[in-house]
Formats: sequence, C-alpha cells, structure tokens
Amino acid sequence: MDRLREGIRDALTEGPVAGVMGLILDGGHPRPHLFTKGRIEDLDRLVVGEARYPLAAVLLKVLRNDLDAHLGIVARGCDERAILELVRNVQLNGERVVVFGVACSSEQASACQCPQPYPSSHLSGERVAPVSDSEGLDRLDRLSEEERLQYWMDQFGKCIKCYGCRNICPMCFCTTCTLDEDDLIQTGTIPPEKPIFHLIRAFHMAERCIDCGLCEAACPSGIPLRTLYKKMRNVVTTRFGFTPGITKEGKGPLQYLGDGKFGEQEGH
Amino acid sequence: MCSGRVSPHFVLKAFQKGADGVIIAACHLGECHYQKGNYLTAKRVDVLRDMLKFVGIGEDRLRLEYIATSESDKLSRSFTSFTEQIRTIGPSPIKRKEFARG
Ligand code: SF4
Ligand code: SF4
Ligand code: FES
Repeated sequence: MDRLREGIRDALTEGPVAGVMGLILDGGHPRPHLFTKGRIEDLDRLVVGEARYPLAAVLLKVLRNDLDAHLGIVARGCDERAILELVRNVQLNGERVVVFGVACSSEQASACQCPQPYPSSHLSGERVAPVSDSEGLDRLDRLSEEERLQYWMDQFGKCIKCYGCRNICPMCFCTTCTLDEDDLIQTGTIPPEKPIFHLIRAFHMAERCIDCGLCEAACPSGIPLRTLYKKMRNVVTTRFGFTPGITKEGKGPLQYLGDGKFGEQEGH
Repeated sequence: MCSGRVSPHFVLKAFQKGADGVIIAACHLGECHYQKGNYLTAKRVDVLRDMLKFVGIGEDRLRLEYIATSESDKLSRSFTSFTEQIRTIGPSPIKRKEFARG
C-alpha cells in the first residue's frame, strides 16, 4: 500500500500524470476520486479493496471531456482488463493512461470468482491464483434445450428494466444504446420483451465482456447475467480464438469484414 | 441487399415476433458485391446459432445459405428443405402462453 501511495505521489509530483483515479474513503464509504498534485494529502485516504467500482468507466467519463489528459488509474485485474478493452475499442488513448496495479487477495478473488485477480504489474498486494467458475455454465450446458429455455425465460421474466446491468458495465461505452430503441424492443412493459432484450445485450457483450461480474452484482432481480455473457465470451474464444480484455490491439472477430475462422485477419 | 446488412438485431427481432425459423441468403464467399459482407454474416450466424442453442430456442432455427443470383433452383431447394426442417422442429416456443408475461 505504501509503495502504491509512493508510486502515485511520484507520478503526480514529478511525472506527466495530471490526475489518478482511485477510491477514497468518504464518511466511511468508498467512492471514486481523482487524486491530483494540488491535493497530494488526499492520498492518505486512498483505499483499495473496499468496494468494487467500474473505475475504468469513471475514468472514461472524465477523459471524454479532455481526450488528451494524461491520467492514471488504480487498477485491479478486472479494471486493467477493462482499460485494455477500452483502448482496443478506441475509446481511451493507451499512451495516456497509466495503470497503478493492485493484486487482489484470495478472499477477494474467490468472492468475485475472478479469472485473473491481478493486473500485469502491481504495487500493492500479492498475486494469487485465478478462480475459475464454470459450474453455472456446465450445469446449464447439461440441461436439455427445453429446460434451458424454461430457465432463461423465467430468469428474463424477473427483469425490471432498470438498466443497472448496462449502466454499471465498464464495457458499455456507447453513447446511444440499442436497448433504448423503441423499434427493436417494445416499450412500456415490465419485464421488457423477452428474450430479445437480454439477447441483444448478450450478443453485444460477446467480444467485449471482460468477466468482471459487476452487472450480476448490480442486478436487483438476481438474474445470472454473468453466466450468460460468460457463455458468449466462450463462444467467441472457441470459434475465433479471441478473448476480450487481453490485448489492447487489433479488432474483435465481429468488428471487421473478412474471414476470422481460417486465416489471418483480412480486409478492414 | 448485401447479407452483411442483416444485423443480428433483425434476426432476434424476427424470433421475438414469433418466427419459427430464419434463413439468410448470401452470395457465395468471394462473390459478395461488397467484397466481404458475407464473411461477417457467416461469423455472426455462427455466434447467433450458439446463442440460440444456449438459451434453448435451438440453433437449427437459423440457417445461412450461399446462393448466387443465377441459382434460382438452389434458392427454391434451400427454402423447401429449410421449411421442412422447421416443420420437423415445430413452432417457435417463444410465443407460448406460459412465456407471455412476467
Ligand atoms: S461481467 Fe457484466 S459488467 Fe462486467 S464487462 Fe461483462 S457484461 Fe459488463
Ligand atoms: S440489472 Fe437486472 S433487472 Fe436491471 S435491467 Fe439489467 S437484468 Fe434487468
Ligand atoms: S452482396 Fe454481400 S453477400 Fe451478396
């Protein structure tokens, strides 16, 4: 933690970094905060591991107003995956975002069922093993098609269309959203038209979801959203050898014309 | 219309409206008027079929066929065989009463 504070302090006072996004304890509650050179003393209130926030999404909001700002972010494994994916999708400038890594504890990793509970390098914590949770998926894959349909229609039927899943998702960076499209999804009903509402989101997440689990944690109806998106991630990995959140370069298989199955990325 | 214009949203909307099956006709690979629209379609259809299977609607309700403008016989054969296939699978479950609301 001291190394983390020091690293941030040095970058703010000596380096080119204008601000660092992290969590601060405010009245006993952690919330996002932009640490700056002018208020170095705020760093005493920096916390890590107190709560999960889509910090990358908050950073993106700040950078939307000032694309060239040189900012840093205190990032767990999931935050870094989100940053990489946002850079790959040309939402963030990778040259301008500095990651101050934090490795999660094994308790945190198992609470999150995290596929990679550490960023590429870290200033705080120790690397612990990933927790792979395919139990939910395996169980569903073993059911008959009819049972799976029953299952998902029941789950989708619980949705109150609060948009919490979309709003918390660090990968939902679009400024207009298909889920708001009246021509596509009938408005004025709860639950929203099913299965289309959830399947549209699932399709969009296929080559984007970084498996952070924030959507499922946010859903007031307890819909196993992460399992659905995990499946879509797996589909894209199996079919095209592409997994979101690993590299900041290149295009996802559904983002370019040309063949992604048999050869090199073709065309544009 | 190039098959690359067939957004996955159109396919999902068709199923939402109660379509029993959806067939997409595309030019042969390498013969797309817009060069590579059909490659994208092929990839999307693969992902959509996997998704339809996973949520229990069934992957065989969606089919992609490569049919050139000159192949009217293939067009009719494909549509006939797809219709037969859908008849065997039966009507779409989405419009079932039990799924209607809530
Ligand atoms: S797990 Fe949920 S919140 Fe996280 S990236 Fe995937 S869809 Fe978005
Ligand atoms: S968070 Fe849950 S209830 Fe809210 S829109 Fe998403 S799936 Fe529906
Ligand atoms: S013009 Fe593109 S598939 Fe026919």
